[in-house]
Amino acid sequence: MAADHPATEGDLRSPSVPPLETARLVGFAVRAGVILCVGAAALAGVIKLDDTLGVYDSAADRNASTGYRERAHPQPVVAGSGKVLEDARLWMPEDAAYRVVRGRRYAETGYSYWAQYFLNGFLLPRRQTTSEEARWVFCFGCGAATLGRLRVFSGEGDGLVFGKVRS
Amino acid sequence: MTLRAIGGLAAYNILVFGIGSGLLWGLGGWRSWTDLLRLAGVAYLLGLAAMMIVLTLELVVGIPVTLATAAVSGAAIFLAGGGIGVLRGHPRPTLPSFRWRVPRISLFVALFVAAIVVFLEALFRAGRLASIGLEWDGWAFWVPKAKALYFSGELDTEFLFALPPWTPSYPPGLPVLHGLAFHAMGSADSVTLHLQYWFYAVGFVAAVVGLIAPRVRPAILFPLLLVVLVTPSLVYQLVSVNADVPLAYLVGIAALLVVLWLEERQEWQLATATVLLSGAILTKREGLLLVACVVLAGFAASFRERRALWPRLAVAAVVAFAITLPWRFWFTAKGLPSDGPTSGYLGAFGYLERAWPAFELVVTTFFDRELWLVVPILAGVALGLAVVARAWRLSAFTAVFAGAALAAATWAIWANTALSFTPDNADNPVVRLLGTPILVLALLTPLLLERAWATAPRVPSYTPARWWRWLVSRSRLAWAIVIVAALGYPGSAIVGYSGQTLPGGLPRFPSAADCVVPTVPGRGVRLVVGYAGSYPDAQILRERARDAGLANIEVGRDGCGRLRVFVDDLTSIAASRSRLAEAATELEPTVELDPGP
Repeated sequence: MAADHPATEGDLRSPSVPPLETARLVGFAVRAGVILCVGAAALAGVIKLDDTLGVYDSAADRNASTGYRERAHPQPVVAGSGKVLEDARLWMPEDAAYRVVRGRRYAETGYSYWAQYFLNGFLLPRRQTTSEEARWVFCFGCGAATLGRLRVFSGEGDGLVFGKVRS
Repeated sequence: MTLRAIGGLAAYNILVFGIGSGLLWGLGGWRSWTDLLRLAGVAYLLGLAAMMIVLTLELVVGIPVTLATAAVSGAAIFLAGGGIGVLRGHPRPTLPSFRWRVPRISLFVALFVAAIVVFLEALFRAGRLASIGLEWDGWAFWVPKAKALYFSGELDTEFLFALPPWTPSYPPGLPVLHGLAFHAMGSADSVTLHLQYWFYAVGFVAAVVGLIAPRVRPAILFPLLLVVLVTPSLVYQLVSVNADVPLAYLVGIAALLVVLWLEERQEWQLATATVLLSGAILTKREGLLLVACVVLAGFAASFRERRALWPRLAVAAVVAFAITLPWRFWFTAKGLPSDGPTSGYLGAFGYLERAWPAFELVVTTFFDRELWLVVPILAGVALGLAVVARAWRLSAFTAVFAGAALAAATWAIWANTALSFTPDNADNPVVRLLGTPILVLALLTPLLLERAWATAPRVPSYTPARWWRWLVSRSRLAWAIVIVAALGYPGSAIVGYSGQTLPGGLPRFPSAADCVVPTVPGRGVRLVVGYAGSYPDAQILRERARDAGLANIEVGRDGCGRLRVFVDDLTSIAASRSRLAEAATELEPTVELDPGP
């Protein structure tokens, strides 16, 4: 396959364009502009490469020093310390379905709605459902009445509880 | 995180490259093996886009995405490419008749090639053990969709409705590819998934070099390529498990192919661009908007030859869009929310007061040097130089694309009424929206500069200074710089020398075994009966240990995702020997360090 060649359209050397001296001047300015552009790109690229390598080196070092929890969980604002989520993952069989319930004291827990979205992905292949037939339950800010129906397997002490509806 | 996962991922990407190569041969993109080597990046991206398209169609018609269906689909794409090639009478690929030699490059170019190689090596290191913890969109819906496809092969609506409400109808192109990547890795390893983005980056760089290097002198291309790669906005996104960067790659290379087709009229360029544009629409919802910008720019740039070119461009655009329609029918039929803006596709005019602030935000972000360095400014200057040099077609394409992309980004922010007018990524996606147009402009910049340089009259010849000749004269020896850099960077990471004075060392491959702690003389020990992957399994292990005569058995998380079943608070190995003897008949307990309370 043949590669193309620089275009011929608008050739400043053609007779349809301004007189030779002007064309030469414009041509000089254009080439100077190209050199300036390449020079600016080269300078910016080289200067920034050092920073970039620093950023990537630091990230690589930080990543190598983190443990399972930091790799598997988002920040505590989303999923607390991760204790309840880990317990839930280790308790529920892979074909289980679970519900997420927000109790009256949900606003006091400090958890955002993102926690529910994180659970959805983190606990796969376990299925998040709205069906009340699901016996595994995450309760955010639930009251005593709801909790009384559960066999609690794990709690964070901040309003998040994981358990199973008593049969 | 394991070597096996990385190896699986590499094999998967080589297969995708193979699939794309077959299709590209059928489309007429390459005739000799050296052509394929040059267009390897294009073939790889074509393979990705083709797999996205076929597997999305399969999802829509109810065929689960499994390893088997993916293998059959990949083979079908490859064979379809071969079949098209045979039908069109393409000769079998050959080696060129001339003896292939390592090209000569200048010292100046070698320095930038070396810099790009080192950049990619550093990117690999940064991505290998990266966490998805800070990548909100990643853990909230991109990775869950991929995991769902990995585990079940389909996207059921109950799962989709449990995702953030604006995301269920996001196209599944990338999750499909990542579901397969999980299969290749052997598990839903969201850490190693970051390396898939490294493969995308390598493919993209190879595609850019393969397409532009024969048309632009290397002294222009490589400095401009480096500066794009190190733009701060891109640096932080390159291995994030989101869809913005893959979208930018697909749109960028497609735009490049469209502009080359306008200039060279090689049909494979438009055909390949069509597949990539379709892939872009299936990658992210704004893909549709950006594809429209590319097509509009193509129409504008070919205005003079509209009779010959517009019908073909229109067909390409319609085909690219039509391929993605089944997905749109599917999510609409399933009752998933629209992927349009919150005010609807035409509702933005009810919020006219948002138009100007949105435009202002887009323009100020577009020229933000903290985000893009000098890239947009260089594109603007290059456009001006190309206009002066009367490179009308290329200039028109660039100008119309830039204008359309700015208008599209403005509309996207204007029409999504919940967005506030801030460049903060948490509240407004303007930076990510502009990433693709900036990348496209960055790819057009070397072409614009080359055209400007080539069409300008020669300045009177002069004898360059000696240092300059030394820098620009070409030699095969200059490759030594690239080789030294390529070996030197990982070498420095091993011995511990870097700008950050990091400790150095051989690569670590974290595993659950990291939480098995060897004993230390003089420190307390614990008798570990075993490890379990679930509480029910741990309970069984505990019962067995109890039956074997052990008492005070505890179960606790080991910190590596498993449960440890153990007897705690033994003062020494000697103290544990009797307990070991009690249990050894039934179990295989080990003695480990007790870190204490």
